[in-house]
Amino acid sequence: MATNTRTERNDGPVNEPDFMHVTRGLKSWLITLDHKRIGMMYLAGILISLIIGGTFALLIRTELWSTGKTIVEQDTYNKFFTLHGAVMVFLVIIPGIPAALGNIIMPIQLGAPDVAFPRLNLASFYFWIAGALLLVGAVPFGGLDTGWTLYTPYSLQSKTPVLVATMGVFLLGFSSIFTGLNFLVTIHKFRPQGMGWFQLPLNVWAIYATAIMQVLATPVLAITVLLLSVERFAHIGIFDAQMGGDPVLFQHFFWFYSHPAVYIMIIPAMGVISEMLSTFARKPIFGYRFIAYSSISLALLSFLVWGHHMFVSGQSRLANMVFSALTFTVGIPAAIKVFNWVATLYKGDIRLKTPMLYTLSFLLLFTIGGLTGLFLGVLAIDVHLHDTYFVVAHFHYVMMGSTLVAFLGALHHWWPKFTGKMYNEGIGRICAIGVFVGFNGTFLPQFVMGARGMPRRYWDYDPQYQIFHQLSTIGAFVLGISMFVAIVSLVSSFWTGKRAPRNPWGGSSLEWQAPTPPPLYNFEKPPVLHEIYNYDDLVEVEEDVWERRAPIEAEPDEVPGHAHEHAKPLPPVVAPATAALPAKAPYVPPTEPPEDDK
Amino acid sequence: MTVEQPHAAHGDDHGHGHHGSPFIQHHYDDAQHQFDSGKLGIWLFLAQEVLFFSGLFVAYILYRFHHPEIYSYAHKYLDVKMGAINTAVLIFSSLTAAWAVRAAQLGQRKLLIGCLSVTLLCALTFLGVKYMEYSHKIHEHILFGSRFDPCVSSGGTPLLTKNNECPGHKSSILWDYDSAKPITGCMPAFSVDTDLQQRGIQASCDVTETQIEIKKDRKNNPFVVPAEKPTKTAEKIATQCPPLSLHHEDADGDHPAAEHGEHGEHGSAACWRVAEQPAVCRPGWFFTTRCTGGETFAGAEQALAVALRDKAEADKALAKVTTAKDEARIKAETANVAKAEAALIEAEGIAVLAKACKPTETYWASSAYQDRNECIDGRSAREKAIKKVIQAETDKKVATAAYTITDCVRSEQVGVIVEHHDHEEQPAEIIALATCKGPPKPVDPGDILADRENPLVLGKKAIDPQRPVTAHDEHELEAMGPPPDHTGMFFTIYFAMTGLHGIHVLFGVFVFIWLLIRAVKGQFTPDYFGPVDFAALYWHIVDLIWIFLFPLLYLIH
Repeated sequence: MATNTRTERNDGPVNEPDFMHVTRGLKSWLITLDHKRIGMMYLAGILISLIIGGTFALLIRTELWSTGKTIVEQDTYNKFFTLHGAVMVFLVIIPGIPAALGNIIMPIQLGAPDVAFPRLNLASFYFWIAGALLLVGAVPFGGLDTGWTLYTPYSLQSKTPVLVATMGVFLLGFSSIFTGLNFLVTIHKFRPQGMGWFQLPLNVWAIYATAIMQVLATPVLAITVLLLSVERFAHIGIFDAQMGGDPVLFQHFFWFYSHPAVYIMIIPAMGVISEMLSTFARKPIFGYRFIAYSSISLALLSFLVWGHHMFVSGQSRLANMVFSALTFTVGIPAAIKVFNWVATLYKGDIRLKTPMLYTLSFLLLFTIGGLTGLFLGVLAIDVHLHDTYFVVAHFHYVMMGSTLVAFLGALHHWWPKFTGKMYNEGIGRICAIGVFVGFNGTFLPQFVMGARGMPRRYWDYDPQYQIFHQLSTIGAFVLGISMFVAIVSLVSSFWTGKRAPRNPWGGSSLEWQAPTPPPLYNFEKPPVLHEIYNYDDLVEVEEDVWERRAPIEAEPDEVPGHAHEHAKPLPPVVAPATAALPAKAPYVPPTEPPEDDK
Repeated sequence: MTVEQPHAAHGDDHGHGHHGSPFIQHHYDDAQHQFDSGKLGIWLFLAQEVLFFSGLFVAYILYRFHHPEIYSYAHKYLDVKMGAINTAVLIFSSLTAAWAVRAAQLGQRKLLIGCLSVTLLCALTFLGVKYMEYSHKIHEHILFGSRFDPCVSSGGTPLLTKNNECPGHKSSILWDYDSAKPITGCMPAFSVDTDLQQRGIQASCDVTETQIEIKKDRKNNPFVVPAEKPTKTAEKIATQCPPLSLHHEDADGDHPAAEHGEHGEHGSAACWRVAEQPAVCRPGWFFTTRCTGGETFAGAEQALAVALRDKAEADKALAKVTTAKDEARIKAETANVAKAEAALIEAEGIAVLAKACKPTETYWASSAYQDRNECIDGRSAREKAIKKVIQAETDKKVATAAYTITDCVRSEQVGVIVEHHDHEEQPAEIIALATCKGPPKPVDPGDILADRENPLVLGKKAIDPQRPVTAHDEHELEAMGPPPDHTGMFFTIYFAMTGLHGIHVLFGVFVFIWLLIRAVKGQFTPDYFGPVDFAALYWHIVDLIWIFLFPLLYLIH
């Protein structure tokens, strides 16, 4: 209750309880329609999954410490890497930023009271829970040993409970589809008047691009795993060569989804990176439109390059060449982004807070991950590197070094906003450095041993690879411990952390105008639009407390705290903001006419 | 200070709205905002649906591109009439769904209820027709993957299933993959059970006759094609027949069970066995026997051995005959040869049948018995013997009427076989051979033997030139023969596509029931009709997908 009555600096008293205290009890969470609560529940599930997936990763690395058997037999090892991949991809990285952080933050960044379809949002969450339970439920039923890609024909022959896992993936797919659909409609229909497409935070752009892929690519995965399930269950033969089916068709279907899925993983990371980079460099993002468009073009290109996963699967030479060429074009929007981020840092007033440390890690790791991707896109080189540790290292640099690092950074960045508590900055920084060091320690040796021919997914190896495996294992433990400590530190701040102010980092987007934590419909009074990524009038009044130099009142007749009694409790944004502004207000009216899409 | 607040009182509940309809949710500006959001949402959902189905369409295209023969063969199993009815029903229901939206917009509650009810009825009709189609296919083993094991070919030719599983349908026509040629037989299942051997055949059979042609499929395998619609010629019911015997010396030898069988007037096991024989050996024709309850036809190999022994004896006798001076003795021996020969042919046929009916040996059935190798094996010596037998028979002046009848029939068979074997060179002989010297056999409706109306016509038919084969004929022809490899893939695709579509229709049924309840409660107003609009859009895409499925699956040419 105490949190509800405190006074916020320069924003007047908060008369509404925050979203965590509106109602109480487990049931009020389980049937909540509030996007923030749903996002928090996603976050809890994702962090638990992260620990499960991470445990499997450490078990893999421990097994690979020495040649031959270290701790487990081959079959168990197969289950370890399968579940590591499946849990991390389907339960952590894909929903990590969009479903958890996106759910919590994105509607507030839009100044919206909620997502467009709150009930669908809750349904998505329960799809996710059901899917996660089925996927992780494969463990008590004997584990899964097909690899996370579920390639036929082995997935049709495996004795492990593939059907359970595929049904889980099917449900997770629909969770993802409905989340994306919800976000698309929210971004289209809940932008406040005056916030045109190019006044959107880049995080919203990234989530928009992601949602396009979620809606258009995931159904293909859904039908694929559905067919695989039916194939397992009724032997319809569609992927079974004995009955005239085509096992490689499964690979095409799978990668038609799973390549966009890589971008579903990375683009939201790019979105949060843009936010954090600009905030902690105290500079407007360089090349806003280029970053926005590059997100969209990455989303579209992602549908055209799936074949580069199948260069050695017997595709025609022509198809290989086309896919190879298209793969290189992906480098263009990715490079545009990196260039713009670096340009944003140039002459910036860089604050090395924990989120910024993760952001800088991201820049380095993503660059390495992206460039090694170009190696793999070269047909001749791919034949040598295919299915080696080089590939493993490459996609970990992208999926983990980039996405998960960005996720951790974003988690630190917005943690004070939605929990109302500051985390321990010292621990956060140490862990960020630990993650960076541990990550490179894990995966740089894998590039080397991959290039020297160490195949992926092998339980045993020749002695000449042992030094690389041991380096990698040491790095993995540094990485694992750092991440674990970071998460424990974050979660414990719930109880031990300092109370967070509205705007601890001096962010310029709308969520920093909302109370901390936000009330049920996010704003106790309509937020005021400012020019996006303009930090000129934000000053740090004391450590980690930022204010606008010229406070801006809401419409005079809009009394805070009574908004809920109106027909519509919270208009998502103040309408023509200029009318309410004092003459000296630094507000720059939107240069574009209000969007007229209703 | 939390719970007392009116705002907090309804907590997360988004169901309380303002602006007229009570169904405008909390977080929307107004009814229009909610409607617009819902509309965009449903369009995105439909885009998702298109992509969801796209995987199946890609699989369809891929497999059709690689295996067009599967599609052109297998689609004939689908009932175009049923598909067309469903198409019409769905298009009509799309109209009523759209009409329901208008009724909701205008606040015409009764019209809305009417339109929703009709849409719901159409959806149920669609599912009913689908149920009929599916249950037929399940019954006939027209299923996906390796469960594709149908009782009839797509051209209507009866097929024998792997395990003789088709209830009520036992085919007589077999396809022997080992020898890559059609063979024949109507033995429900071969068993060496001595009990059954003693009891003989227990079966009830419909015998139909069809004129056939032998064609080659893409792999140059011969298969038979009916040239005319099959005609039902007889119904055979045989129970508790005596064991097979090839040594009926009496004139009545082919119908021993007629006197004591339960269905005496319809013949017996022996009748049936004999019944198939001439039909089988009729050139240009094949016969189909669909038997129910049949169990075994045992003793065929034994019969063959007996027949071969008889044949040897007959040959020996014939040799004697040719050198003997005794006219009477010649006649007698000749008669023996003729009977032994007939028995041999018969036994060979039976042996083939028995072999063909072994489930492990054969699978597809689609051919006629009179394949030259199976029927007479081209043994010229035997042909000579046969000719001599016929000659002897022709010269024979003294014979009992019954004997003549039997002999006449036998000679007809033999003649036909020869014709088939070498019809181009011996057309004249066919006619001669087909001429029956004895008195015409009295017509017995229960006996296929009695159905020979005009032997001359048979011979003519066999040597009549065929009309030129058109592309359409080729296509039809393909559909008649044995199924191409992996035909089940078509039905994998068929069941996946129509099944997924059917689930969508079923979901639509629930949606329309829900809408109907709400419409009856009067919850839709001109302010608030979004759910009707969105459901109608959903229904249109379900309809649209079917409009693609119908030609892609049913109308392949």
